[in-house]
Amino acid sequence: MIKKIIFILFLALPTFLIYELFGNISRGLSCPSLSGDGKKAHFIGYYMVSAGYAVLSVIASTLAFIFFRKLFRK
Amino acid sequence: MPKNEKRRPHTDSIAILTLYSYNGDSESKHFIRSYGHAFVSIENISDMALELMHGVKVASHETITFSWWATDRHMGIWFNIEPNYIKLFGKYTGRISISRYIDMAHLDAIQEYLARNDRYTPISNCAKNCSALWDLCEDKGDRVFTKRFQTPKKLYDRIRKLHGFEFDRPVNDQGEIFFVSREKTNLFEMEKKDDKEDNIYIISGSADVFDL
Repeated sequence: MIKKIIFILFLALPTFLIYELFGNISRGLSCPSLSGDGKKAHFIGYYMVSAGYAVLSVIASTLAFIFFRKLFRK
Repeated sequence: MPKNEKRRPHTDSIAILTLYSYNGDSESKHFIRSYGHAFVSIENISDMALELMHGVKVASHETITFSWWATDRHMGIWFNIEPNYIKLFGKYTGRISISRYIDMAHLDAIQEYLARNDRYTPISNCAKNCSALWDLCEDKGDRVFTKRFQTPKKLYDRIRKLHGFEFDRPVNDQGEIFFVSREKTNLFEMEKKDDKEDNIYIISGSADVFDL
């Protein structure tokens, strides 16, 4: 039971980070763009935030995987 | 200068500097946080045009708004995005602001700052640059910049502690969107998504690039 709870906790963080990652990408896509000189300018702030969440998601997922393996090997 | 004095015009006052910060609360939903935005406006109350950057002038009794933005065309200072964003999309509801009168010496300091800091990074972001710019004109006790990583939320909380702050101060809806690069002004228009038709259409202005 304790293992299950810890397993869920290990999964919760990367899941939340991935949720935020896709949420921010979605916001970036819904941002209006600017047009001028026959070209467009896109607001990329949300994509920069998404990149940060992507890095954190990878770190959290890796740690979750490592701890999960250690937990269930014992 | 006493706190109330800088909120009143003097004989040498040429403009009103307003610092805005929005903490993102009204646009955060489903756990996804909006990190807010900070920006600055300068209202020219003098009878002459005031120059902010190379070729960027504020005509007499007009207002210009600017901040530091991350876009794929220009990572730096953009002018008049915020009034258009507020008018077309109803953004930044709940923004806080503080204003003060400035003189020519303050404007010189602002010009120098803008000339040296036309660059956006996550560290040198809108809140950091707007705070630093405000502090050029401010007494020590009313400065807003923190040495730590500056965010619109922190700036919002700091402004709330100052005398004379306002909520949802109107921002002018005039002026075209542009940035300056290599001594050229690049004009832009904001596209608005029509909710009913689900079409994208251009709201106003003309796209052009010209030499100053």
